[in-house]
Amino acid sequence: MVQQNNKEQQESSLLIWEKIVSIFSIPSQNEILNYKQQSQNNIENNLKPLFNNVRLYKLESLVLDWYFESIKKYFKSTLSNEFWKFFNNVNLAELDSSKTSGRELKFINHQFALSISLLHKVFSYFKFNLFLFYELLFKNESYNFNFLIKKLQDLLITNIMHTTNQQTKYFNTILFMFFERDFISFTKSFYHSKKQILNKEEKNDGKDFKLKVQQEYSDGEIEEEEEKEEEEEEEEVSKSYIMMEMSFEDSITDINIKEDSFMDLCKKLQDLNFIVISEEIFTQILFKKVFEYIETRCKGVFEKRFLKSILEWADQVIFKWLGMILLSSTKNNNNNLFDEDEDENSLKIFNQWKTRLEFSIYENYSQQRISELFDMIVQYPDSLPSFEDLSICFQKIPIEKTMITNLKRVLHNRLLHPGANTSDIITQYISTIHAMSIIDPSGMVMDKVGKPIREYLSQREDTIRCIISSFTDETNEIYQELCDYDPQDDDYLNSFMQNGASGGDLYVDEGDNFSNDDFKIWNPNKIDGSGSGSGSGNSNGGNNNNNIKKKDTISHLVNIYDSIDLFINEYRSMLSDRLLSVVDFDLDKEIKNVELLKLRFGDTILFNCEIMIKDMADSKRLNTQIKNSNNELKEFETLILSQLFWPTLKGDEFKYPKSIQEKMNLYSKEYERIKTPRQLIWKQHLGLVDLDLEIGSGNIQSFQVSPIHATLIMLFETNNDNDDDEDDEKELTLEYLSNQLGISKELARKKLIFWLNNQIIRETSHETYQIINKEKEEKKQKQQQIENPDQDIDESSSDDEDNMVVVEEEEEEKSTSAKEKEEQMRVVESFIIGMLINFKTLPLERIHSMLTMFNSEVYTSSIQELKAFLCNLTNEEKIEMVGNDYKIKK
Amino acid sequence: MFRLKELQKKQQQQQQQQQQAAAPATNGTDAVTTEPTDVKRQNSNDLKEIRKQKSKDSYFSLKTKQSSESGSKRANPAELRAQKDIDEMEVPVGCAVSFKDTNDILNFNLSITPTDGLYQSATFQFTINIPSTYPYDPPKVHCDTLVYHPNIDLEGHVCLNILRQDWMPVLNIGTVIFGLMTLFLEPNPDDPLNKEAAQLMIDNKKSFEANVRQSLRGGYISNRQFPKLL
Amino acid sequence: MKVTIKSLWNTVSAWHWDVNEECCGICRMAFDGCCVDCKIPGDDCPPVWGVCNHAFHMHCILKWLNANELQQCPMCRSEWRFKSDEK
Repeated sequence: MVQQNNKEQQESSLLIWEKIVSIFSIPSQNEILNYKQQSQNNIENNLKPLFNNVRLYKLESLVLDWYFESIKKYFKSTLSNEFWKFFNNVNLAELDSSKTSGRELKFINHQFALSISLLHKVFSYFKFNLFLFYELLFKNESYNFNFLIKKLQDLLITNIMHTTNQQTKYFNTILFMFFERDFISFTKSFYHSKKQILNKEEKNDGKDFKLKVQQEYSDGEIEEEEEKEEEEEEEEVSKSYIMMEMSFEDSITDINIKEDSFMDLCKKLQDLNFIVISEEIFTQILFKKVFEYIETRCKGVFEKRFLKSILEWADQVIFKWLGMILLSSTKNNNNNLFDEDEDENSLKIFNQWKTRLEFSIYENYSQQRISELFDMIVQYPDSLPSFEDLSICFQKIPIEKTMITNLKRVLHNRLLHPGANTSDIITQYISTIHAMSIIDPSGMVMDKVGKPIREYLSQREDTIRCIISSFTDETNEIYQELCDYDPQDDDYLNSFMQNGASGGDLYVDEGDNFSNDDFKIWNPNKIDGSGSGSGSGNSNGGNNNNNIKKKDTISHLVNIYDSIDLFINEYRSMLSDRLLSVVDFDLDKEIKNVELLKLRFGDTILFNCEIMIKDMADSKRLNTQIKNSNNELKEFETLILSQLFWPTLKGDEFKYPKSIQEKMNLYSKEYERIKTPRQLIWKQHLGLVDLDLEIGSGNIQSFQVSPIHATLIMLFETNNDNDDDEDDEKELTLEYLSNQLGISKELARKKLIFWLNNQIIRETSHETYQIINKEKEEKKQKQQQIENPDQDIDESSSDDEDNMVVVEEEEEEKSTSAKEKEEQMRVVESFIIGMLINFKTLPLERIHSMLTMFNSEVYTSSIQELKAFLCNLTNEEKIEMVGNDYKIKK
Repeated sequence: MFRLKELQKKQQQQQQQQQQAAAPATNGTDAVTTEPTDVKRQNSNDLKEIRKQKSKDSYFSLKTKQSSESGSKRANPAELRAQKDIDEMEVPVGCAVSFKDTNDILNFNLSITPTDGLYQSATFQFTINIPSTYPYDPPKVHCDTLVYHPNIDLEGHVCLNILRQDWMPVLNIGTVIFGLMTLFLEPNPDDPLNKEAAQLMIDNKKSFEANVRQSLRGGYISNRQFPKLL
Repeated sequence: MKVTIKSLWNTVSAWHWDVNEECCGICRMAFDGCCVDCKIPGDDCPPVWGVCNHAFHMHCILKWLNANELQQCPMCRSEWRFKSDEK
């Protein structure tokens, strides 16, 4: 019985099977194409009983498998052939988008459209059938309709596109060209429409607008021309667009038509799930587009802000196009067959791509700009907009590292080399500071980038001087900053004040706990590369982040050196030079400068400068007072310094001319009378004399010289008021001069060089000098000629003699700091002598190490400098060198 | 301002130097006019001067050049003066100064090892505290080592005239150290803090000396154990 | 040749207290500078002498005399009296 049942079952199942097969076997191509979707319900009703039977006999999976198999066979053979037939005329092997002509491209795309429509139709047919299956067989079970669809799509792809590698490649190429072409035409039409719009508005607005659009438009054109130079048809098309000047509405419809067909195609592609494989392709196009756009438009142009316009462009062109591809399905959503998930899915994909493209925009822009950073800095502040753009990028994407490395490298190569002026380097440094502060307000980037600059600048000798002069140079922006400085803003000063040592008091009251931490606050925060800003020697480790923000240019500049003392010392020297050389005491400007510096850096440090200025004022007062009390001193003035507060002013002493000396003595007496028990010590080498030299009649030359020069030349003075022919100019020997002045011969010779150079005196014979008085000499020559008409007197030779005699040994006016250094070395000399006495002989390294250990306060030279110094001493015959060691010369 | 490493290195150096330098141990009971020789470095060709210089520079110094005393950051007057003292002082042989906190110049330790006398070769620790009214008030000295001495009581108070009634602002830390050294070389029973020791010294010098030696060896004196220093 | 000094001959000098020592014994600061408490050197912070001829900054010695009942010279311990000069 059971057997019979089985047999029956088998027979009936076989029947059912045959029925299914007959209904669902793959029809001919035409039938498929001409297939119309019949009313769903009818079909369902017809097939319901059949399918119930199928279910009864548990033939569902069998049916499904068979159906898929047959589909597969069909795809592989028939459909595949049909598909590739479309491209028979195309030489697929040599397909290359840049080489194909426009016409061929159009043809290919047309064929492509047709082929896809074909596929789509076939797909829909099978989809419907599968839907039937699903509805009637599998609805209550675990199968998902989407799963079935997916399987269908996969089958389609594998059997048509990817049967061979070659085919894959061809298909990819076709896709690529399709998308690319479409994108280009899309952008073109976009520009054109824009132009149209703006053309209309042009009558209302100015011409600039049009120019701008034209530029964009032409940029678009240029882009395409770069890509496809041989694209005649495209050009024709574009030309037609320009020349035809269709009406506004027409052009828009044109775009719309194009768009619709494209979108239709995309929808089909979406259905077929080809979008997935082609994602890579069209995004490749888009990325490339973005890169080119940014590069061509932004390269080298720093004065405009681009990011916004780029993003707008991306919105209107790129994302729109992308949306058209990816989201086309969502627009025509009249098909209930689709799950809502699909829509969400595609939206998700679209958003993902959008984000990625946005990211790539930022990235491309940043990379572009980073490669141009140096030029941007040089052109600061004109390039401000591009920095603002970069700051946006900086927030959006992590470009910090690349920017820092790149900037460091380029600065190193182009700025920090011996060919650059110190002032230039400083200017660039300041520009960098400003620029980086825009990009990264927290200052981290600047710290890392600035470190090599600072190190380099600290090695240059004239950095301090440059910076200090910029502090006081009114035209400089730093000076402005100094002026605008508001103590309230400065964290340092505030915290310092809170700790009880205010800028106003120089001393803390006795009993205050004045810890050295407060001193550390004074030092501008030294921040090394670490992000937390824990610089060495900085007690404010935790506060650094706050303090970084408040840093301004001046702090950055001062940060080059560890402490502010160096600066202030240099300023002090500068100030003293200035004050000493000024004949007329104009103090207001200097006072103002000192006040500003005080505000910025605190009272204590600038104390010396204040006293220097006070000295000037006091001297003035005192001069007036003494002048009034004593008639003889009416023509005499002196500047009285508080010696300890001025930089070291060492010089050579010598005897002043008698008249002056008398006045000086008189003045001293007066001073001592007024200000007992104080005395005056004269600084002969300092001061300035304004004098006129009258040589001959009416030949007056003015000079402003130092006292020693003046004294020397005064010795040549002859006391005759009449220009007698009889009196020659004095001939004075070097010995006489040096005796008169009380100086060594070498010094006298050195000082005479000045007058020799100015052709006031000449050396007539060895170590004898005489005033050059051309008039007298001419007269003399005439006389001689009268007496000895035959003699030829060579006048010009005298000049030559001057030139030959004069040894162009310029006096080296050492800077004050160099003088101090020299003094230091003298001090050290005594140590060295002492050490050698003690140890008999010492090698160079030993001397150096001992000096460093015990005298670091005084001894700051390097071993090379020490060696040079020891050489000097050897020359002076104080020590001698035996092999590698030095010892006292006996 | 103060560099710790350098300081430590220099301390070591300085200790080596002290063995070389032959500094006299002056009597600190009188007001010694050891005015610090001003740093006339240009004139110091004398070896002793040089060694003095070296010891002066053994310690950290403010960047106060003589000429620009107001150029640097102003500490309070006591610190300033103390700094100067330390820079200029001539630490005698057997003495060593150590700073626990290099930022705090007003409190430091002193260790004295007399080279002669009853207490020779034993090392005694002192804590010196400089008041904020220095130099108008003397430094406060406390002996941290328990010692059997007429002028040092068992709690460590030191009786030295210049630390109290005879203090003059022209004295300095160096003179104080000298004074302390002198105490060990020549104890003064006339002004005692440890009355028994002083009395014994007057009455029976030999017995006093024996007591001292005993105490230095870690023995007991009057039921009190002294630390073993020898 | 004749030399005429056009305008004034500008000389430079430095003032200096007429003291034997360079530094004040109390504060160890140079006399030409000022004492520890002062800012400005010169007449505002002068040295003063005692009859024993020792000199100190005016502020330094005043502080000492105020703090100490015994009016003693810090150097020589003799009684301190200000030397009165005819100024």
